[in-house]
Amino acid sequence: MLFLMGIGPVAAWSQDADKLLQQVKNKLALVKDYVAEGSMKTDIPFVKMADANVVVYFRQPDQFRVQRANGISILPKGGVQGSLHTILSNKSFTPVAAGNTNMDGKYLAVIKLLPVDEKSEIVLITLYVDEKTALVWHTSSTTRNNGTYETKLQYGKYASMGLPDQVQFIFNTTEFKLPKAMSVEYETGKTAKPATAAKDNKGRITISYKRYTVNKGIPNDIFK
Amino acid sequence: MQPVVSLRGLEKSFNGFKAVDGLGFDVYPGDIYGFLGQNGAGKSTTLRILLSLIRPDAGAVSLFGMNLLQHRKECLQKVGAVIEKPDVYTYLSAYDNLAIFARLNGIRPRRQQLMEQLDTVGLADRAASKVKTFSQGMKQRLGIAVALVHNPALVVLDEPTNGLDPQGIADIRNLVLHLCREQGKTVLVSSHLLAEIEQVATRMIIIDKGKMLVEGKVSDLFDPAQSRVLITVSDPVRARQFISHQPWQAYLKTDQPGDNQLLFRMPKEQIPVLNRELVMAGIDVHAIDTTHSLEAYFLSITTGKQHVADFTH
Amino acid sequence: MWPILRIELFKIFSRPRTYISFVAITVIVALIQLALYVDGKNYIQFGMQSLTQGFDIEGNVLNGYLVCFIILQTLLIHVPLLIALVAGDAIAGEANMGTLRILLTRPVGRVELLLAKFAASLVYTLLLLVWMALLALFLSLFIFGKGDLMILKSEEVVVLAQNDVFWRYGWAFLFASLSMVMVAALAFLLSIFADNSIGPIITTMSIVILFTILTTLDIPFFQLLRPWLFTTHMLGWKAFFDDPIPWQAVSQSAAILLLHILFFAILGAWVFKRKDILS
Repeated sequence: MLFLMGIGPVAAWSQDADKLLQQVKNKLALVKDYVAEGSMKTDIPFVKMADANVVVYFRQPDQFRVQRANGISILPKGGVQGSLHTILSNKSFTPVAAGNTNMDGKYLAVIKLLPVDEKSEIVLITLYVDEKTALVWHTSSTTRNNGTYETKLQYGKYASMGLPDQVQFIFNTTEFKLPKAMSVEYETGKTAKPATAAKDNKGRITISYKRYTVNKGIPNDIFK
Repeated sequence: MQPVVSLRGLEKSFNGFKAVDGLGFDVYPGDIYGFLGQNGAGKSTTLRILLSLIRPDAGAVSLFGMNLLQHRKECLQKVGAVIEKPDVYTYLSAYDNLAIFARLNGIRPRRQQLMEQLDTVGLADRAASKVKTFSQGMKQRLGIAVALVHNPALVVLDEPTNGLDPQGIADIRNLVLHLCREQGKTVLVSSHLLAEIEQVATRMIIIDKGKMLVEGKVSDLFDPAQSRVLITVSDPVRARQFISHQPWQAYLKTDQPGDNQLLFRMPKEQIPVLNRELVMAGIDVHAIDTTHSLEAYFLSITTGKQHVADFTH
Repeated sequence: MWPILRIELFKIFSRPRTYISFVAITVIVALIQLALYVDGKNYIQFGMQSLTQGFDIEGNVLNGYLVCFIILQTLLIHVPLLIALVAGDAIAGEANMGTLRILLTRPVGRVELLLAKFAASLVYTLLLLVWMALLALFLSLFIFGKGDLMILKSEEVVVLAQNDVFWRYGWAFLFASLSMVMVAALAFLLSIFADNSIGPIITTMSIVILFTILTTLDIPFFQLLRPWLFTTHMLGWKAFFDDPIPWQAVSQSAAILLLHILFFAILGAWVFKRKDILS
């Protein structure tokens, strides 16, 4: 009895978690591809970069590309997980419910996803989901080699399609050093680090979407 | 008459070595002024002071009645100089050199005029050639053309015959005479050779160790009465005895240059007369050796021996 | 002074040695451009190694703006040598040829002549930089195209949007001109003391090389010296590729360079006015 009592809620939660994950996936499945215009703000401790207009391409299951017209973009290795699709699509997980939490003024369900594939680079994904709308507001992914990264999403007029208005991708940055001899530098005498340098050694890339064009097809060569 | 050049009490030392020591002289319009001294006597330093290339430690320089330091531009406007070597820009043509130096003097002669000037020094056909292809003599002539391009009233030539062949030396001599006589210029010319100066100069100065030794009109300095006559005879005792009763006694010098020698200072034209009288008196004359006293004197300082006492009027 | 300046310019540009610098710059710039054109991708990848370990870089990194930056970075420390070649010869070369004494027996003020000669050296210096700008910037833009400028510094990466770069090059070349004018002033000053041009040319080169080494060496004692070395301030052109531009530091550097120029020029005039011409 005690055993049952112990296992019962877990099973129930797992079922809830399964259900919720399926809802989330269903919502994502509405979008086969999109082209989105937006602006990208790069906030990496040792990178000074002006905000730039970008075009974001996505195609199921997990093709994703951020393109800066004629410009240079510096993105974390493996690409920005700027879309939930790329995190969730085409992968099998064992969802585990982990209760609810308040985050940024929202009451969200917490689901932990364990990849079925044991060799997966990702070890654990935590989703924070609004149960009513099946929108994911926050994710946290723990990888085998590249530390933990998070995404924060905000929704607006494209919420019905499950597409965010803004995605912030947060990742760890390792200390970046060039050998000094490569360039003689002009020293201004100021010792203070640039204002953009975050204290937590984390990089943030924020894409604010202005307009989505959904399910209109994308030429293959965009993704090379 | 106002002197063209007037130097007073010039002094200049280099690292404690006194190159010019209280020198002063005047050059008057129309003079060909000889500036004589051995190498290192201070000639170049003096001429450089005169052209404002070197600042004197003391003394005054005026050109055309103007103080050089205060009116440098006005003074130099009327001076043309070749100092030491006639250096010009070897990577430019003869014509360009001439044009450049004319411009520096504030004049812009027409091409025709410049070509005429080149023609005067015999370089018209090489006007467009780079100077580095020129011989020493051609450079010398170009250097003179450059010095004269602005028709200066005073021409300063520092050792103009250095390194020239006899023909070149003669050309320079003729040029100096031409500048003075035909063009009415005043010429200041330095040399370490008396013979050169003697042939052209109207006045001259001899300096040594930065000091003036003698200065004056060349005709005075080369007074024929100043010939130094050395007579070698068979019997000097008898000769002296004979002369003591003759007017020749006034010319005889007391010093005894050699065993059989008598030294006179006398007019050159009297030498044959003296010779004849000695022979008629039964005194054999073995040799007569004449030098002009200024020449002997100059020779003595240039060979390093000082016989100042020997040259006294 | 204008006629004398014209004469000086005529003299400078009548000499073959003047064109050595222009040829040298053309050859060096062309070589760098050729090398980057042929094998630039590898070079860039090598340069970005530490960055590409964690990041994907996308876009045309190897564009005309970056090529120009690489050229300036490589070349600007050597240009002083070319400038010394002419500025160091200005007075000493004439003394050696013997033409200095001919010049100075002309009715031309010594300071006037000195200024004209200095101005002529400056014209040469500036023309050299304009030539360099034409080749390094415009030719590179023509060959490699436009793009964002990504600069790797020892502790940060700066990416400047392509429409935000050109005006920075304008300032950078202006500042580089100031630096080179300073070198010209130094060579020119040394030229006054010498009777042949090898001395001032070698001395200028040696001073620039020595100071550059001191600026580059990462030894604490030398770092203390850094603010006092003009070579440190000569790097100020790089400041225009920072975001935001450290205007205070860069104007301070410009002021220091300007003071050097003034000091060298005034000292030069003072010495030259009193100098005995013995050559």
